[in-house]
Amino acid sequence: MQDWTQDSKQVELFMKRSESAGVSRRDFMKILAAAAGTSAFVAACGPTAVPAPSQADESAAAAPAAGEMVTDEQQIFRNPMNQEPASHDFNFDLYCNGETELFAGLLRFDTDYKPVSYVAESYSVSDDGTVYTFKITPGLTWTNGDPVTAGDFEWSFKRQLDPASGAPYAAFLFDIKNGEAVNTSAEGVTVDDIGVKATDDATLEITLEGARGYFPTVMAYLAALPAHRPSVEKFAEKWTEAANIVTNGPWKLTEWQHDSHYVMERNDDFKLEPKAKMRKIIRPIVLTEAQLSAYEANELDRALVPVAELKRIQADPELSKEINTFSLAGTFYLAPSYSMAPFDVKEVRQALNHAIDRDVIVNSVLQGIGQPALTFVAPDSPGYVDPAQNEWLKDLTEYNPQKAMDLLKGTPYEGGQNWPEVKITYRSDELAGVPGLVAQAIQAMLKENLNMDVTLEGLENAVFRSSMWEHKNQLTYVRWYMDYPDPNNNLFLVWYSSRASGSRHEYADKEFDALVDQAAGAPTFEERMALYIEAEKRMIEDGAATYVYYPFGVRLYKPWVQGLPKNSAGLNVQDWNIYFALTQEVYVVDHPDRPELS
Amino acid sequence: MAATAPAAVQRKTTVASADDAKLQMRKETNLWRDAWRRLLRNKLAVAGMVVVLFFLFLAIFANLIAPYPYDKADFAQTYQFPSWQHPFGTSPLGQDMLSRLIYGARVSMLVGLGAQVIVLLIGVPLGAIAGFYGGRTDLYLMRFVDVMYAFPTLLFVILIMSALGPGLVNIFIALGLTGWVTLCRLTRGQLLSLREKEFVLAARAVGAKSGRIITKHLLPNALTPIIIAVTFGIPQAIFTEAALSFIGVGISPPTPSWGQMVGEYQFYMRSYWYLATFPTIAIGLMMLAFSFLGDGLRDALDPRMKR
Repeated sequence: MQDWTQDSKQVELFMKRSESAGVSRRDFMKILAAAAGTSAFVAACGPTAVPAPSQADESAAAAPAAGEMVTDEQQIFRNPMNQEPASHDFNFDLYCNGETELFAGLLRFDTDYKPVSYVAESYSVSDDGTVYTFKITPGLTWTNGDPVTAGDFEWSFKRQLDPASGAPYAAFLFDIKNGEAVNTSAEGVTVDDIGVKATDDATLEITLEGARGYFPTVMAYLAALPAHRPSVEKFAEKWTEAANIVTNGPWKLTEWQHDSHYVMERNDDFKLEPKAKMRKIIRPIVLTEAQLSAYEANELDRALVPVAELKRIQADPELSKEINTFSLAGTFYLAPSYSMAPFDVKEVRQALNHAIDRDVIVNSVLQGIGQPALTFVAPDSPGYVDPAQNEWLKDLTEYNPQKAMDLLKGTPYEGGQNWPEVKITYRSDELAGVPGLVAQAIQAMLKENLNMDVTLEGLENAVFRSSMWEHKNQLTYVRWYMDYPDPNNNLFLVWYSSRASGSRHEYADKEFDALVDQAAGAPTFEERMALYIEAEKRMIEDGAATYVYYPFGVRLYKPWVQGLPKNSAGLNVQDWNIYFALTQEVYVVDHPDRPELS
Repeated sequence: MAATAPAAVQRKTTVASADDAKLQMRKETNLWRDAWRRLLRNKLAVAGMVVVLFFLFLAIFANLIAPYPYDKADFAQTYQFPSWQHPFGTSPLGQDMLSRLIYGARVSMLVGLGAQVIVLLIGVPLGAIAGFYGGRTDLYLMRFVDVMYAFPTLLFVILIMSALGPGLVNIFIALGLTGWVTLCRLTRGQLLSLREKEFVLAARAVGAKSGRIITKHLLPNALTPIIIAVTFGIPQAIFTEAALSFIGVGISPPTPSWGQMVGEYQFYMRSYWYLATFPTIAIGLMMLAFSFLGDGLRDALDPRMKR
């Protein structure tokens, strides 16, 4: 569901690997285009959330607590998806857009985005933090009756890292010892040297490149879902077809009619919690723009609301009760170029932070479907820098046009004079025009506050990506959706510069890199987070980015769908890009408007 | 050809052609007056002309008429429905939509007229050269025109725009580079038949150079169809600009363009109906007005077209 092209490293590696595997550039572009489609989905949903938690709570409370659970036969959920999945093989391609809940990984994320035990009933870490030992829950089976063993995970991780399989996002497992070396076909290492070993059926030992405090988070992520070896070997890329697939998760794929829909049924043999309460989920392909009307025609049980439709939904006495607002666990930000005037001047970069009124953008322009952002890590994730506890944030980021102008004193642009041509580049083909809208607001604010004339350039995904990665943009307006809830995901993949594979933005600071490295190996969670906050501060001090807002999403649920998950803070959590167990939690209750299904 | 004719015959023909030319010129001055009268009798054409003049007036005096600056964002006034203060409401950035529409007329007019100037500057001279000189020049030019014709126009324009980037001048260039072929063919066709007329022979006989013959004798006679073609070209250019801006490769904000507004606000249709509705109406009205005016002009200038 997220935009893999956000991920610097993956794109680079993928391109490299594609070339070495003889994949033509055109095929590469095709995949990029497919990814763009994926993000269009994200886009369409993104623009919608009403941020005020109070409102979210209200709507949830307003949902009629109605009747009794309907019979098991009628426990059916009509849950649209935006596009045909490429496959359900997350072990090969974590952005395949398939059904995550067909599989169960070693760990999973709970509604607080914390990694908790799943297939692994427990795990332990060696004293130096470099070896993780996972204990597999006994008695688990694949849907064909095979036992789920440590060997399944060993094989799956090696399959993903093996360059021969060509898995595009293997980089997520590069913390495993020799993972990167093997995946990039370095001399002197073979697949057998990868640091994953099933010492017996119930014990999986993973050796890392170094101490990696966030490793459990990666193991709870989609990249660490297993695949069923005999099926893969027998059916190759066709192994996730409904007729062939063997899975180990709470749901079974029972029907997959390509370009139309697929159907999953509860796996009654699944022994882990949470177990599915519904009997069946029907997933038709319905374009995001078409979901709302299908929902209103009572053909779907949930739908995404584009931001432009929000006003109407809120004004509707019925529909307004069905709103579910949730955080997209992401951040929109401005990234200035370090090599192009005027942003090669540090004070100009810093001034950007004071020249943009984030409250106005969120509340007046976006009608409240987000939350102002001062730092990179979203409030959903550990490592969020709470402005209330970090005074320095105010100094560096508060909206204060006078301060912005003062910063320009002594630069060639003193008094807002002599600006060269400035262009903001953003991605135009997502979120139904929302990024362009915010870019226009920023344009107006820079004109008003810094007397800077700015032009806008909206590019479609593939072009935007390459222009960002080639550092051609003077000022980039872009978003990051967290892959896994750890600052490592944000700070390492976006701002870390000491990488052979290139970097997403131009910011390059050895000290920053050192802090991120240090954090990865820090012994305790608190120390790790403190180092990440230190790193964020350093980056913001240098004006590497101006964070703008954390986007929200809005979904509608029919009143008979109950059990929607919330986190411990009482906020809605949706199956977005981190937490996925929503389909196990929800159930259907009696309601006069509910259609009888089969 | 004339050189092969006996001198006596040639002289005679020349005299006749000169008479013809004089006759023709007199007729033409009448033609304009007749045409004007015929145009005024056509109610639809007059209505079209009034609307076109109205938009032209808005375009020229936009800075005097518009109640607010078109790019002034007032974040305290975002998403305002139509009111006395903002008759057409405000944009998501709090800009006055009426002011943006008025300035949008300026963009549309500039594009419509500007692009046609480029089309004229390229199409007419090339068409004249091809038609007048014929032979190889004609052959090569016309094959080139055929090649240009083969491209789907809108796609070609989009291609040029993606290469040049958004902006008003670039739209002129893109529309000019793609739009001239029709006019080129038309001019060539006209000249092809006109150049065989005797008054041309006469002009040649008194020593007129090719350039003079083309500009003084041939083009004035080909003017009517050119005017009609240009009149129809204007709304096409306006519409193409709207289409380009709609898909985001035309005019970029904050410069307002009707097409850009429709493209940007189409998603808001059911929540904020006014955002996309008024620019859509404006585009439709402008297109319709130019079409009526063009039809009227054609009927007026070229009575042979009448049944």
